[in-house]
Amino acid sequence: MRAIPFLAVLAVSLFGPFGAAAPELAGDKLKVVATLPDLADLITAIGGEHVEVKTLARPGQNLHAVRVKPSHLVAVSRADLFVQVGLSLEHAWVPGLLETGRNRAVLPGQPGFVSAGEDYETIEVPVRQDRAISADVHPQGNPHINLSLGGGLHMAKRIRDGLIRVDPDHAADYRTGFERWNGDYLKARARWDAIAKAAVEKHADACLYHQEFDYLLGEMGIAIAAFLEPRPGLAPTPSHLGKVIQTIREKGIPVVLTAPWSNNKNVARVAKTTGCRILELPVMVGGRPEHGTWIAMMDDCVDRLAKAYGIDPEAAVRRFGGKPAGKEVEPQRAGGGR
Amino acid sequence: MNPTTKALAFGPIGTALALGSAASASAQGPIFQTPGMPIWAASGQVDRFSNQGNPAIGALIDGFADYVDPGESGDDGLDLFLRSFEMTVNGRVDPNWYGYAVVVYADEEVELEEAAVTYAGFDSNTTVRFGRFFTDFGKQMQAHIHDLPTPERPGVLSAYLGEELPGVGAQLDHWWATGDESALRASFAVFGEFELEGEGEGPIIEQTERKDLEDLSLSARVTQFMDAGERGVFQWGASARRVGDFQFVDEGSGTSAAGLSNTVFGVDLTYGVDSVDGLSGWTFGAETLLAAGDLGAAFDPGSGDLLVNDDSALGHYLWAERRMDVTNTVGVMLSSFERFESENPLTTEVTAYYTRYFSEFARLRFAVSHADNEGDEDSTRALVQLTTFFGPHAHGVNW
Repeated sequence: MRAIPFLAVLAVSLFGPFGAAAPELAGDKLKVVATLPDLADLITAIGGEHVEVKTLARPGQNLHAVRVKPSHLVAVSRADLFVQVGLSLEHAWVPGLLETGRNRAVLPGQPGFVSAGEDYETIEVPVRQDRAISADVHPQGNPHINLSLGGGLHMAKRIRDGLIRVDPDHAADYRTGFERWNGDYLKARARWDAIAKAAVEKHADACLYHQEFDYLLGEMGIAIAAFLEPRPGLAPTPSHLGKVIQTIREKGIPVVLTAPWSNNKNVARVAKTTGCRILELPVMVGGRPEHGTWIAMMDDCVDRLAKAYGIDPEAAVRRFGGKPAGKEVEPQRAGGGR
Repeated sequence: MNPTTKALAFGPIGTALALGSAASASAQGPIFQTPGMPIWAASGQVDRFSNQGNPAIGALIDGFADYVDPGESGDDGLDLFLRSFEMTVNGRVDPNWYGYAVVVYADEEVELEEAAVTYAGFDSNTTVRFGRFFTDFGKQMQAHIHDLPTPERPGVLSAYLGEELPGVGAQLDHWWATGDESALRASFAVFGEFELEGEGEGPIIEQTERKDLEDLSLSARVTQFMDAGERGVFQWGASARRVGDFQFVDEGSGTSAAGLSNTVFGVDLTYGVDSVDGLSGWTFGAETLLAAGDLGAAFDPGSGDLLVNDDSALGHYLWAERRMDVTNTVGVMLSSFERFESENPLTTEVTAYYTRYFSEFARLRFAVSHADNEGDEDSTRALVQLTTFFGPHAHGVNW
């Protein structure tokens, strides 16, 4: 008789769930799951009316601290296409999510899986994979390509190809969507390149908290002189901050660059001690109202970075020209990282 | 020209060099299959693996320094000790199977804590796990003790289920979407036996090796978790674990009581909410356990019998944790439970802790705990715990 209560729990566990119906997403749109809002923006721009996009990480969320939620699990289990940046950017939580989601169509290697950053010409590829070098080890190099001027185009192309792969019936629409987005990108890129030329002339140095903006700084010709993190993934120590402060003073660095999540008391302390300003740049689309699209976010990044170094963006565009090239602009290799 | 062909062309010295070279590349078996040896084509892959084909290997060290004041029931004083050194291997068997194993050195013994494979090749959200693995009970029992937010497992779990509860068996696991923002998971497992701890000076627990079907040990769990707003997650669960057939043995007198069983039921609630950046937040958890059946035994010198305590006992724990930022966490846990003794005396424990994370792979924890034991001496403990992880670290933990 003792087994009866146990069997009652068992019955609930095995048969109870059948009563809970899982409503399907409306319509016959392609169900796409994107890890970042940046990817979601590109998917929406290219896929248009054919896609329904679910974004996992919140704007401004540290990608090491994404708590996988039930809605993520359900979305992955129903997805036709899963899109990540890759390059180990989301490796803390995506592999487990995909394994638990048990949707074979979107597992790595399947047509429904897109690693949008794959094959990007990354910087800071570690010489050896060793935590003696840093706590954050990214074997394929710096994964923050969503903050590279060339990263958007690279990811957009791979997203276009992924959409066509799983939904070839609308291939023409996806190509059209990409060309439309690329037209906007080329206009913006021409402007960014003009501002970058003005920045290069400054021969300026930068100080930042973590390695998110290394691509952008390299593309702007700004050398990285110091990081607040002694090594990626390690919290600043007093002695290291002392060296950073000395470097800022010696090189006359005007700002400390930080992401929203790392704009902390260490950044404030360095800024206060050296007298330089804090420049918090976005790390994801949607963190601020004016960062509704990837192009808008990067526009704002470039403008604010330029202004921080005493460059008038509009004057730079007038001087160096801001007209788009007549063809796709290939990603430019950044050279400012460590 | 491959190395062997080259060797044949260049004489005995060349042959030795070439075979040496080939042997080092063919680490998984001999080149020739002689009669009576395993037939590789039927029993496995003979290709050479690069290092990338190996399982991920990880290790950790969990060390303590503590001061304990057990009242009149023992000696107080300081101690430094290595609670555990753990090695894990994780890897894919093939696209449908994955497996892991955990070997631990603790208390001067090496023990295989887990070694299990999971089949995930169904066209549904179903998996089957087989091997030796931690029981799917409540929020904590699947987790190894060093992975817990607190230095020790809540007292009610330790007393009713054990510090850790591995068993050898098979588990069926399935989850369902229950709307767009919630999912429900259920598991059912059958075990040949659990590894049950017989603590204290009382009778030891022995389980019969071969059992009737109705005497097999079982576990079951159903749990649902759901989005709670933009940044929160709520989870509830109900679990049961039944030990089907065991006996108490009093080693001093040689008496025993056989054909016993007991069952533990549990209900758990957990809520977590994060800041916008996800680096800080709150977590609250609670679990209630009811143990029923043959819970304990004591030798009666008067009658010469082993008196079995066929009763029920109730216990709970509450836990709250505040992640202040990426490196600092504080928390408090309260556990209260009836002990498996005559009259069910109550033990109440409270633990407060602070954890400092140097990185994602190293942490230092300070804690103070006090236990109020009804009918026994109270005890107090202050500790420092250092836990470091080498390489990858993962266990087969379900949500």
